[in-house]
Amino acid sequence: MAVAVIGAGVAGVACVWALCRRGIEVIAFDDRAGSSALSSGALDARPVGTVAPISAELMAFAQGFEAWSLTTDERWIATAAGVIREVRGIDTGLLDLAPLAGGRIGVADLGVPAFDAETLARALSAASWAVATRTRFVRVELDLVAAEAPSLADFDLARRFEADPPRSELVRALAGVKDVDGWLVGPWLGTSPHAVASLRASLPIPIGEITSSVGGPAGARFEAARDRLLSALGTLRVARRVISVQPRRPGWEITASGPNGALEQLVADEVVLAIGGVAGGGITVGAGGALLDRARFGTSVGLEVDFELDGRNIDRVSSLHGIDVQALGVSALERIGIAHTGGRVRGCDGIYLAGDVVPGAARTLLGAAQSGIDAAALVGTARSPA
Amino acid sequence: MIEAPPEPDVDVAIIGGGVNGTGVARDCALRGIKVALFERNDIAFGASGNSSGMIHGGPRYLTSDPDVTYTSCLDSGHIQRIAPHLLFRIPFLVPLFRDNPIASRVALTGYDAFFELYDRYQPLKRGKPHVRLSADELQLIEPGLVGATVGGISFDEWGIDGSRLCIGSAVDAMEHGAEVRVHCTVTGVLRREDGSVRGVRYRDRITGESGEKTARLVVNATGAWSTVTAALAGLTPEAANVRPGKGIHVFLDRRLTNYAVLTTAIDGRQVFLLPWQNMSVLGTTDDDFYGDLDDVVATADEVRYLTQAIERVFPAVRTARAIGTWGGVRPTLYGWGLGEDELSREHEIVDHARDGADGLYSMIGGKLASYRLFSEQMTDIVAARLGNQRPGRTHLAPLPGGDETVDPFALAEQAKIDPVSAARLEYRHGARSLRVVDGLMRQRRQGRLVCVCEPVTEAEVRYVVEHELARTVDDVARRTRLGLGACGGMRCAAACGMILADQLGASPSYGHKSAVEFLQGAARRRLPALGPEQARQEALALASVRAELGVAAASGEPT
Repeated sequence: MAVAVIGAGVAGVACVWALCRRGIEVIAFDDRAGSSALSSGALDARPVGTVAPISAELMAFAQGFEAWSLTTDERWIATAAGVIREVRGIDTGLLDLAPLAGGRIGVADLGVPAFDAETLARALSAASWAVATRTRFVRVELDLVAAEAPSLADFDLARRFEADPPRSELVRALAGVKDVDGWLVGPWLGTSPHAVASLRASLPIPIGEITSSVGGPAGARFEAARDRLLSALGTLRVARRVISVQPRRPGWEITASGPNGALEQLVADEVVLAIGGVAGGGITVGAGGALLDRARFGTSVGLEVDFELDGRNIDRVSSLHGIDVQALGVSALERIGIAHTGGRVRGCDGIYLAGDVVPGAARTLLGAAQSGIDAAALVGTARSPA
Repeated sequence: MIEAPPEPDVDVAIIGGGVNGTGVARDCALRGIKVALFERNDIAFGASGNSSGMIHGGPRYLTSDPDVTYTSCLDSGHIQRIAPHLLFRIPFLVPLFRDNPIASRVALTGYDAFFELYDRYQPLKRGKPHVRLSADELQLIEPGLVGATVGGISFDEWGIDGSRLCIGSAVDAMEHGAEVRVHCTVTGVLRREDGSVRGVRYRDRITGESGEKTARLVVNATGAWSTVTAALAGLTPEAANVRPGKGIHVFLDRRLTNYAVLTTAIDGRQVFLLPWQNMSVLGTTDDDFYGDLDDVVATADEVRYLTQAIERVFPAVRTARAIGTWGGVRPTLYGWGLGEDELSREHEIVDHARDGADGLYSMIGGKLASYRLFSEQMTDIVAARLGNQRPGRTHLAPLPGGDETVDPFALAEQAKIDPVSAARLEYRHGARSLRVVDGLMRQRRQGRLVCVCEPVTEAEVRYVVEHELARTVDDVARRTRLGLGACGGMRCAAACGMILADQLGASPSYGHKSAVEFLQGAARRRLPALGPEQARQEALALASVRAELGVAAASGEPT
């Protein structure tokens, strides 16, 4: 049996991983960054702020996923907004504050405009976790030639610190400061888990980042780890944008657009849609086109499906003027999904859902990974075509 | 023996911090009258900060209400004199389409004659005379216009940042001894047994602190809230009747035109596309409003109505991204049986002695452009009752920062900030921009841009908290435009919250809460204008804000 997994965000990757464990052959399609690749690095269970039990399978997946650190311990992180909050797990680049409780944490000031170390140190020191644990955050000014490029985005800065001499210069500057127990820096430690690990190895005390904003290095590290995992699993990967999934009885025909607009077609017995929700681009909100098309929800793969919001079916919107998101409420953008029964797309036998494309509450990375594992368990259960 | 009644705390208690309330506070303060002003939300929170921002002569009222046109033009000239930094010229174009060539030519001749008449008022406000343009000339100066025209008309108006105008009046009033309290709602008007007023009772909506302020006179300058305020004084709402008319604007992320374009909507109403700094603004609607005045948000219907009208003559409006909307409610003079646009834009002062509440006055109606005159008329009455002989001089005394001009390039050089930041700073603060950068020069790091889109420095954030009564991130945005640009505060609200809390000496959680509230409000104001492309960005923003602040900040829903 050939199974196509469309989308290689966290839901797609977890699904591929779980299918491989079952010995099922997988073709993984992916194109452009979705919401996993644009994430902050905080691994929340769902809903945010509550501790959900982590399944043994999810734990096993996380342990094999280089970019993640998920243990049974509680983790505390500092966010770019000056908040200290509890999370279930972290991207390995983030600073786990828990082991540093009660200590003195240096907030590295490299003069990068987007990272206001002084304000951040003050806000973090006054956060209730810091007060309760008597942890202090202090701004430490580091004079680095490498950082003297005020317009560099976090991702580019992280890139820069992967190479020498900027990296050795950073390590030297950090090592020269003696009175701190750990370092909190901006999201600059590297664009791959490997780069972060090797930088850490050259310092005697813990170092880690605050959360990444959209497009920051935490997402890049997710992608690096994803690529390593898929290649370790020996998965056939097609880096193409799937533009159509159509029934072929038996199976499903998948059309992907290749370089120069050439179309490629493949047939799979079953398909897992891990294409993302509105944020990831898997669900479109009336994309342009003819006037009559303006008011429709759609999938990025052109599959005719029903959409569901809070248990309500929204197959189309009868308006010439686009979908009124105000009437639906902004959180509809996170809760809308493809109508399904137990993970099976209604009316599309052999198509399963994983990740944000499943309707329901706002998703988190761990929730998405679990849904990918759940979808993998359904594969092979389609009724045989009449 | 009869004891003399105790001396009241102030001469006048003013309710409402819009353009009229702050205008009266300033006028009183300049005449040496002791005032206290109470604003329930923030300075310029209502119609004043959400208007089209035009100090125009109201050509719209030329045939129906020529007095409004005259006084508006006259005062436009005064306002230019006292706040030259805040005004900018807006040249308007009125294209006339060839749908019906004969009718359009007749219309063009009619417009020509109409603006000929309007030209007579233009010198009052240093306006340029109108020009009749051929179809080719029209196309040449604004190539984005589509549709065959028979030509058009240009005419000249002035724009202003209404919020900055109100802030300027409030600050000047304070510097002349006035007490101004924001986020402080009046919970009742104190009255004596004979019905006359003797002050107000108030409660600070942030700290919860409450108190009484005794006053000889009370001025209700609450605009669309007037009826609510009248009820607080124990009068019937009709005692200070207004007919609230909601108007909305849509903000686009780029500057599409060099001229403002006036055209008609589906119902024949006039609507416009206006270039404003690096953005464009669509406006406006006028609809009877029955909702909550503290929570006025544009609807998708209103946005579509405006977009539809502008798109017809300027299709490029569809290529721009809507980054926000704003809604305000006009305190139009009450009238029954008339369409919204037919209502008078005049203003009047109600002496509630007629309702048995001697000493209480309501300012009803009016418009941004004639605020100064209206405030002066109110203050004249107040001064006469108090026996104050000093003449009003709000048309002569410059508003804060309006006394001298500052070259933005020299300012940039001096403060070591980029010229765009300096130009924006100079626009908002005039000569006082030098005071803003003073903090920056003492502490270099304050030159850091907190908001990159707009752009706003940390020094300016701290300045408006210290000197301009800002108490929330939303207040900072109203004064500096922080977070109102392309990113909608995603990158700066939290940072602003941290600086705000630090400057106020409040806890970081106060700053976070304030940032969250700002982001929630901004998201709600973006929603009605959300197109297909923006929907994805909005969904990503929800996740990002939640990750950083740990709450469903942008969704407006509790976790």
